[in-house]
Amino acid sequence: MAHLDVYPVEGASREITSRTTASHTERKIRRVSIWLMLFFLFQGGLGAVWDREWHAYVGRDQFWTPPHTLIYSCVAGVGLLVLALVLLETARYHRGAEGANDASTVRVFGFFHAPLGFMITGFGALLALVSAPLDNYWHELYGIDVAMWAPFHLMGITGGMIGIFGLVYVFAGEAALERKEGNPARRWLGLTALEWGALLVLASMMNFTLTGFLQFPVATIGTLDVSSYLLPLVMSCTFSFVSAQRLTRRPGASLLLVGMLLINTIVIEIFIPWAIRTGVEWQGLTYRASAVPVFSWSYAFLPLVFLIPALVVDGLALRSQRRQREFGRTVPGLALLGALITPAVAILAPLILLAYSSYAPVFLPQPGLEVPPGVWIGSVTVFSLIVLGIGALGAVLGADFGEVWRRNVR
Amino acid sequence: MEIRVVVMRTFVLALCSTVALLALFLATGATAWADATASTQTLAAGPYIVDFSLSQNPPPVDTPLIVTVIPRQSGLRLQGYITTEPGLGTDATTQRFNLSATGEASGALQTTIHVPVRGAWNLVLTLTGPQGQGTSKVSVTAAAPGAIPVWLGWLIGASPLVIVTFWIWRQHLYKRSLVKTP
Repeated sequence: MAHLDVYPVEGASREITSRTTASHTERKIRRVSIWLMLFFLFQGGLGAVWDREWHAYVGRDQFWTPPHTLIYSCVAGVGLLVLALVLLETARYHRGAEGANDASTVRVFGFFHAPLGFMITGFGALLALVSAPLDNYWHELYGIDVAMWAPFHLMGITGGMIGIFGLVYVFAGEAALERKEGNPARRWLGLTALEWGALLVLASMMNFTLTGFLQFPVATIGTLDVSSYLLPLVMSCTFSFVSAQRLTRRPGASLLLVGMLLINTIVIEIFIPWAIRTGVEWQGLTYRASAVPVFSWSYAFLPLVFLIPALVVDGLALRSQRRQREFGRTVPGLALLGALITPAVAILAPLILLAYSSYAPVFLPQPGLEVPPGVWIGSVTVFSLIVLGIGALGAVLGADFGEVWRRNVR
Repeated sequence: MEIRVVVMRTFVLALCSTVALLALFLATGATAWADATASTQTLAAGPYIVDFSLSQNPPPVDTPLIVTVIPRQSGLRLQGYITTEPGLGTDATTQRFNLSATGEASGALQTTIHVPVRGAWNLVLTLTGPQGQGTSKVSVTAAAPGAIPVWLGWLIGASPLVIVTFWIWRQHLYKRSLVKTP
């Protein structure tokens, strides 16, 4: 009878051990970097809100204000970290190190190799850094109150958003690799640490949207002003919830996002007014309109406007899971979902923000002037359709990005 | 198309656009700054007659500007501060800078101020001494580098949005290729 004996081959065993160690090194390099970058992201997010409030209460007295220092040290930190990682990954790729190969990196300029997310984050940081001196130049020319809609603010914000997206790619890519390799990872509430990281970045992205949304342009139709702040609010809601669902495949991801965002805004509201008061006192500055910043309940609990949409998305995801069907299979279905959850945000946000901003009611008749009924009806109808369309677009894009984040391992 | 080719093209496109726009920026934005030289004038801040000197006049924006105040009458031991107030049409905030004694026998006071926005500014000198408090105002116009046209500013500032749009579109195609791959 044939007898099969299996003996370990010494050389092969050594090679496997060496490969595992090398791959482990690769994972360690990337993961330490992304958690560090997440720290920088929180720092930058805090700096951005602080900067907005500093502008409002104190004014832009110089470039190196405390919030600017926080923001640009974050941008520089991320930029340097990404640069170091790209160089290291490139060196490892050309050396043929295990884990740094064509399957886990992308090539840029025919020579550099690094994971896609790091490249995107680096590009975002570079853009934000380039925008800084240009923004300062613009302020020198046109003053402090050029608000968010100055060209180089737009450039910096775009850079910030690209950087944040890149960070989601990196977390999600590592999580996808973990799943692909079948490595059992410890889970909390059904999510691995890397998936938690990706959700934290998404929550920061939503917070970044909240930072500037009240400064979105106001359209004037005859004697009626229409504040467009609902557009970014709705877009960030539908995009984030659907992409989080697609990324994690876990019902409850949207609620987690709301929880993270809520913690974020509460911490911000505790810190920022105190920081401004301390900064003003320390530097001997004066308040612009004699208004001293204090804790705002409206801003702290603003994320609650996302609660109903989160419950709807999570409920539908749970239903799909129980029926063993894919969540949001078709584009029309996703668009319908986006449009369905939009009214909850559009109705709740103005109510919560009433005490916080004069722009809260969205439709703002000019003082002392009558708005003809035709203008009212036309404006409300057209703006509502635009908001619903943006909500639908956010859901469709969220599904696209979420799916890529779920599957991309490079 | 492979993702690496897409990424590479995107970055090359971004780099070329940025270089081109910055070149346009440098070509359009005049770099000539106003010739700035030191200036001194005599002021009466209430009962105190002082020589008020600026290290550069007109002062360039966002650049340290040394202000020296020398009393005509020595031994007064004055104290005071400078308040920079934005003038008509200048969008900025008021700031205060305390004067400190230089230690010279003349009783000179000095501080370093900066004006963050170009345009009209009023430098308000407030002095306190044995004869009470007095103030005086000096008007200056802060100079800035040549302005680029607003349209060019917006073109440069919004240029990354083209790349973002392109990226979203490529992302959609990438997703389809990923879904097809088992």
